[in-house]
Amino acid sequence: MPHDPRAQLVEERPKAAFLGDLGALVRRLPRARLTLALGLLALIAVPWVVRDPYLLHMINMALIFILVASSLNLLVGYAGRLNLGYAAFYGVGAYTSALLTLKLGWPFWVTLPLGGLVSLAVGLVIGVPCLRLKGPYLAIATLSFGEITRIIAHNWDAVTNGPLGVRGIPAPNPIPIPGLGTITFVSKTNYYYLLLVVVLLCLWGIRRLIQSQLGRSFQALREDDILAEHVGINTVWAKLVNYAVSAFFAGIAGVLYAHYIRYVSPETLSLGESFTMVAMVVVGGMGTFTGPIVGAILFTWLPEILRVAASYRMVIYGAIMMLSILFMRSGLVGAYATLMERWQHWREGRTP
Amino acid sequence: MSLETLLGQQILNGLVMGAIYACMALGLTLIYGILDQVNFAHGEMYMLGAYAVLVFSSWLHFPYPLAILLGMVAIAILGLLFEHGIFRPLRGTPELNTIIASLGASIFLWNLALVVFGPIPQELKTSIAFQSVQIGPLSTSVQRLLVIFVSVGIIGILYLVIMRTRIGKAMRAASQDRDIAQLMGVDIGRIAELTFMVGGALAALAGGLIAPIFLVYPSMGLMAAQKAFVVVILGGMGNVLGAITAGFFLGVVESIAAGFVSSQLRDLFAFAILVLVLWIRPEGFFGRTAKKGG
Amino acid sequence: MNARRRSVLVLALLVVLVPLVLTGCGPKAPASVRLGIVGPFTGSVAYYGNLMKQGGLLAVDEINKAGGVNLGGKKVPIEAFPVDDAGKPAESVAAVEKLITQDKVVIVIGAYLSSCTLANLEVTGRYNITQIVPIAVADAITTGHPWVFRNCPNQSMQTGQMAVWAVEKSGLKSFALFLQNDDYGRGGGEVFRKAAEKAGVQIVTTEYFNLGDTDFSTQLTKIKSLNPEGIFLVALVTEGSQIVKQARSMGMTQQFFGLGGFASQKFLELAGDAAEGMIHVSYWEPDPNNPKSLEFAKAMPAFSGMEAEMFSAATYDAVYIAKEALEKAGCASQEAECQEKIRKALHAMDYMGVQGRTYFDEEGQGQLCFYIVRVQGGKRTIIDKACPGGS
Repeated sequence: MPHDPRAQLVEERPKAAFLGDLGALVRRLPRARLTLALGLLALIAVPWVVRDPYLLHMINMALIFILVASSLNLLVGYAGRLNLGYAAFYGVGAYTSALLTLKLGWPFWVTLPLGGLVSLAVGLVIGVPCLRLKGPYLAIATLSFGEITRIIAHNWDAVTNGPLGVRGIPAPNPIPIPGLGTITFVSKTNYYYLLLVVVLLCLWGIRRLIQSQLGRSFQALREDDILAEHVGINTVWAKLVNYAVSAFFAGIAGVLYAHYIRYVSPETLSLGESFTMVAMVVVGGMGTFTGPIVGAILFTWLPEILRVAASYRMVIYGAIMMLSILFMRSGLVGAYATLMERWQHWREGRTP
Repeated sequence: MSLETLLGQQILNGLVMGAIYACMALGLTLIYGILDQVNFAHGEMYMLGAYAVLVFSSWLHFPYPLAILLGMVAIAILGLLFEHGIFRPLRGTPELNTIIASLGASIFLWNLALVVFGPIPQELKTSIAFQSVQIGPLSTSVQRLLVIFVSVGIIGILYLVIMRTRIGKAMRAASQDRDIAQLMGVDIGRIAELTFMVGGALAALAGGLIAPIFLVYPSMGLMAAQKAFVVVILGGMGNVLGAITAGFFLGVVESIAAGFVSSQLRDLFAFAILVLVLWIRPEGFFGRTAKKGG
Repeated sequence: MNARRRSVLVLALLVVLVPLVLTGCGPKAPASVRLGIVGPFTGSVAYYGNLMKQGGLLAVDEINKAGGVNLGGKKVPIEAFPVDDAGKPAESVAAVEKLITQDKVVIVIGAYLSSCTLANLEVTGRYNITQIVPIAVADAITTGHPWVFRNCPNQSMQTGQMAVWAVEKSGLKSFALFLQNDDYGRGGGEVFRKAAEKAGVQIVTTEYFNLGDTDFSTQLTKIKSLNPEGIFLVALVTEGSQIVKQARSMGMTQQFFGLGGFASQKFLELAGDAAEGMIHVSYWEPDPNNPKSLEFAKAMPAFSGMEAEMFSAATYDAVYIAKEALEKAGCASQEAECQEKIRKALHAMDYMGVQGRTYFDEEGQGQLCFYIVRVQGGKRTIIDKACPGGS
């Protein structure tokens, strides 16, 4: 294989990439394929095992945020471009689809990708001025954009209905299947399958992007973007694509959210939401594939688990964020991988 | 009320907020200028400063000026804790880490205050706070005048210290080039501690001065920090004079814009200005202090 | 099995097992009358949310002490399920989902904030569960929602009456509007504007502030410069108390008018002397003409340590109204038939409670009287009473 200078810039993260080699594993080991099939089966069987609609609700919310966290991870984890106003992309997608379906009667199946595209456009509008910003400047700029979007949603009564938000958002249009009847999406079970399909598709897309040439140049951006320019990576193009894709998937997640909860308000775009999204990525494990998934599940379920300690919940969030950066730089996923390695070594040490 | 009087009144109001912004921004810009690190929990130092002064003055019944002094000391100590606990271990690692760690600290602190002090805003009663004062056609309160004069005074003293004393020289040297300053014998560790303590004390001063006018509540640091960041960028990150000037500037502009254009979009102005500056001239009006590398 | 494959399985199983482990398996069997109370028990308006909760729990306590709800001859105790929504609409939705699907409540009482209520009534609507709203005032809550009932006056009612009182009975001829920058404030402003037009009274300016603002000097300066006789203030306690304080400290002497949000001890505490003379709406006062209200005023601090205020009074009444409706309907289940009976009972109800007389119109909007009060000597004094149908 010819020496690719760009490969030098990509920091190897073998510890946390175990799931990343799944593709290779599947091809080589039939046993891995079986495991994958079992995993998928388990996911499909979820609504049959989990009968309680409230628990299913929590799983659905987790799925939505898995998508959010994974796409934010593209921005923060892989390209190293912090964004403290991410809820804006998510919110724009949500509002767009909500308003188009409610006020203009457009079908969900059209507004789903449309919401993503509008978010993509907003992402570019925000991304272009931010291109040459780094570090704290970027953080504050994205925070400000997030706030500006929220303030607009709050004040633009005519369109967004202001602080009272948009209610009564319709569920996705039923799909008629010739001979079998129609599939509606009002029940949590059916919405679960919708989410499963869309989210898995998007995750697959994100995975492919990360593994592509373009994806590797994202990582080059994170490490040292001046050097990246020098070895021929078009950093402007890479940054723009990164922003656009990340915003697109956030928009999709927003649409899925809007038609599930059936209500959006400026609260959805708040600073607290943006911070929680960052926490999901950071605590889960920045720059890994499974990290945001773990982080999203954790932070979606934490409020419910901590219902008992309700007022302490945010205190714990903040503490977790601080401590994970200080002690678990690669997040939970990295810490787990390290633990597994150590255990592996210990076991190997014991075998004669 | 004539137009000039109205304008004058709005400007006077703006100077009060401007003084607060200047105090907050000064601390932030010092930390960034000298240590290259951003403290996203700066707003919480302001908030905790206000609560500290509240505790000392309303609960423990110390006289107000003493309470402010004690508050400044308390938050200076907090600044020291920040330095050692968060910023020192992360110095040299990617910027993302300090940003997120201090963000976590911010969320932790303001929610802790929420749990400890409760969400209901509390009052800091002083005997003179609301007494009205007339300056020609303009009216204001004693406390507001106090805010302006005390902040300007403290800022002035700080400026002199930075410009004229040895410690100040060391700080300026460190802000220009940390490595060379270290080679020249400047104890960066000490300077770092000092910077955080000063930043904390300034934030506490701002909080303590403004508390009798507004109320004290746990989320008061959030908006204050956002505005402080806008000011820091306007004035150029690391630029002391820039932070001071931009602080007063933003306070007055906000006041005039909200008063004459629309009070509905008041907060929007600050963000819009920020976006404009970042787009056109990210170094701010005064530009950054010279820094090594990129 | 190596570490990698193990991890895949763990991840897949996580999604399935953790929820089960967390909250136990299977639904619980109902053996009491289950009432849900949703409100902000944490967050920035927790003080009022807790007043709500305690008022409701006091009613539950009293009813259970007397045996419970009389369903077809048998007395069944009430089991109350207070759930926190932290003042956030999305959480309110999740909270009500939990109340209906996990706790199997028969009636949902709540919420406090209009935004939360508008969000969570979509949930009660979807499951066809009756909802009684004790506090949130947005008009849209009862309009077009036959399963929602509200036992307090809505935005138009209280604003309309206050506006009419201000422009007709106060004798003042010019006003400034100072409004919270959201539906509550802007809606209130609209109503006042219409009343002012009708009475031929002038509005010199309309200023806005945002929730969370602390400095109002800019807007107050502008208002002062235009010298109106009265100021119509639509704000909540935190901002409102600051506004009157800052206004007085600027030497402004205008007469302030306000809505029901100011009827709280907290406002008097925070505003201090600056509140003196302010005229505003109050949904509930200890009224010598209503002995129940006086009893309630004593019972609340004894039960919860908190003062009796309108938030607790409204929720207290809501619980009793729920009890009455259940007894009339003779059932307490989530089934559609039972829910229909409950709603019929509510429409037919004419209840005398601590808030006075409550009955519901066709939209489910409660028709109650409320008071106009003036702050005198640090206390609220009733100066007038407004009843539905105008009087």
